[in-house]
Amino acid sequence: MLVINHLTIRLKDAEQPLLTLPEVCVKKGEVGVLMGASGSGKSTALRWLIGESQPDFDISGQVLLNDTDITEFNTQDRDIGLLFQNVLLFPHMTVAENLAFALPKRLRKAKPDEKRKHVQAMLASMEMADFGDAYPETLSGGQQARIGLARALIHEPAALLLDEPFSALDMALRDSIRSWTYKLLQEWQVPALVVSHDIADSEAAQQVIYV
Amino acid sequence: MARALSTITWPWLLVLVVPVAIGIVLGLNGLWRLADWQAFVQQPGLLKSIGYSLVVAIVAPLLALYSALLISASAQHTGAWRRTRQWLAPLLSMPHVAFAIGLLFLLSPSGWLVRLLQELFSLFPQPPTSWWPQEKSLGLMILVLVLKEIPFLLFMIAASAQQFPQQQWQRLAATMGYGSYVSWWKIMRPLLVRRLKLPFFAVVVYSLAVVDIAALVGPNTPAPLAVEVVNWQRSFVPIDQSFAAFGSFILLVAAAVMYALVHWHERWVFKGARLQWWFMRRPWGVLAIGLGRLWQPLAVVLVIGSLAVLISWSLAFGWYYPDLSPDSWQVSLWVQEWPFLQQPLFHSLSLALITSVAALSLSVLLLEHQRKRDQQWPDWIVLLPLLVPQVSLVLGWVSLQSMLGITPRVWSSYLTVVIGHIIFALPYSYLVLASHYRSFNQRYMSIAATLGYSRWQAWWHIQWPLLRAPLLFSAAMAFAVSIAQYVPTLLLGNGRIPTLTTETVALASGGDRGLIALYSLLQALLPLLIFTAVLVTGRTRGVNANAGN
Repeated sequence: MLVINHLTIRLKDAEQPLLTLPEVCVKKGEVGVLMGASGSGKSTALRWLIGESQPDFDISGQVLLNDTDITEFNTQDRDIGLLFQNVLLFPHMTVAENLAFALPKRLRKAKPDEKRKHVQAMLASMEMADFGDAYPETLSGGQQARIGLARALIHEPAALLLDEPFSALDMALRDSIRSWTYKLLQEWQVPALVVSHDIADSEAAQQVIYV
Repeated sequence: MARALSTITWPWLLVLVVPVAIGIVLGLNGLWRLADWQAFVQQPGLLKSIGYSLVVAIVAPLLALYSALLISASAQHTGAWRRTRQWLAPLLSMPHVAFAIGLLFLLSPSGWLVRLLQELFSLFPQPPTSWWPQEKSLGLMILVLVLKEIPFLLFMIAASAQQFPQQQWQRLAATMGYGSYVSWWKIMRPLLVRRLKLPFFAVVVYSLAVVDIAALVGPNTPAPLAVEVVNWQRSFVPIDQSFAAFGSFILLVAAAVMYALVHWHERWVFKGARLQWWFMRRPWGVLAIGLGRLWQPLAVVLVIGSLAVLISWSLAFGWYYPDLSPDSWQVSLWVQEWPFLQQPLFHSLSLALITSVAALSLSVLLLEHQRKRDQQWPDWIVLLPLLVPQVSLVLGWVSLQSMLGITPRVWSSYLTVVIGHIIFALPYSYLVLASHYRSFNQRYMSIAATLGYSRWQAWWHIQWPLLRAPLLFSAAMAFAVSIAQYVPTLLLGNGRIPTLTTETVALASGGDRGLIALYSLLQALLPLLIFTAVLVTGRTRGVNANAGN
């Protein structure tokens, strides 16, 4: 469960807050959508949630993940996954290498065969078993979106943040990828927070937070 | 300026400002000796020497800048432009000294070109006395500098032009009835001249204070001022040390005046002075298109021709005018010279390797330092060592050496030469890397961090492979700059650290063309091999030119 308590974001030296959130609670398998216009501080909130320092802002608040206060944790210790709108698969790695790079720490030192088995199982669950050796530039937009989610999930994160995840897709693809993503998040029982300004992203979500 | 100064932090002070400030202040040590000034101004040929330096500093950079602008104007968005950019690396990598000697052997009155004309048309049974360019002349010096600086300015234009939406602007201008050359000249040129102000000033300062090229192909009765300064500095006559400080001071004042002129030129261009519209008339457009088309074959001919003539002379046995080729080819010179070549070769290679690793590491650290603080230093901060005449800076460091009582031993000389090379190579290494490094999409690093990787693990797995080509290119550039250093190696090393460059310049005062060619060839080959290796190994699979952005 991902809980955000009393988040306030101010531009340095500004009196008026840019964004305030009293309390947000996203349970396992649920999708919460943070809706707001450009410049409303959504992306700043997301960067704060993953633990990146932001010298231009004064930010206060608390993040709890499965009842642990992770507010002061480093990004790499938070166990929160991240997915951007343009997916950003590492272009110098094949699809399989992208997934192997994201394996949880306990599996990174495992034997190559074991790692390969994990990666292959994930690819099969995405119906992309034959794409392991492909480079990202050869994939379509929809395929890249699926591999992007696979890379985030194979790490077994305790929560997932998605920054405008479907806005780079064309209209025809957007709806199907959205419903597939939400379904998968529910299956994996991962609490997910989507940052978006697209009303369609909020329609299938369990809760919507307007900022 | 206030914004720029607010970003000053200790790495900048330590790496760039302190050495430059020490160089300037200590280089002027001895200026107050008025009696020596009287003797100085009575030096024969002093005014002529200063005049040569000023003419070179004005004419060569302007010709190089406008040639580069005309080439860019005519070749934008064409295959020729892409090919031109590909040819920049080998041209940039070629040391000035090797290039000057190659050009001398190609174009001088007894060079290959005249021999070819004699062979084809029987025009010159003797080397012509009224030929342009003459050996040891202002004309040849300017020609070498122009041809060597055009690639640098083209490189800077290419990097700067990417920051403007030039294709959209040119499409817009086309709908208003402007041709691509005129619209580029009207819209892009003023912006580029403004953006290139400091790199252009660096070219001006280089031309003003260049020593090696001036000593090789410039006039010698008298020589340009920077050469005279080095001669005075190396002289054993006590008063000559004061003359060196006075000459260095004059170069600094001249550089300040040149900055005012460069600033005025930029304002003049930006305000759209009437004279500039001449360049939009048809003959200039035709010239621009001609230059744009000619540049690539010319660059190929110059690089390959220079290398070919150096190879030929190093293997020649008995080669007399007007023969196009020698009586016979032998490797005896290479074999005989090998024992004497080893030390300069070792020094050149080791200095260049240390310099390239250090300059690349410092560039990455300075860029990371700015990224962490969300800053972007203005160009002048990094270009600082190139904006002061090199000989003036080095004289200051030599004074520092004697003030600190550093006994000139081989290891201490080597260390000071290394530091000198790093300071002069760092700006080039940084400039090559900066735009790529800044446009790298930091979200890749965020993703890696959320997957549990530390900053340096992520740098190694993600940023290094994605930026491998510019990182290696940056190191190769520092390598080439180090190989080409003459004044810092000679003066900071107290003559104890012979390199291929110092030996080539020393040999050039003699008449043994074979020996000069052999040393120049090796000097040219080292950076060329490194750049070739970078081109072969730099590409990362799956990464196209814009990946990582």
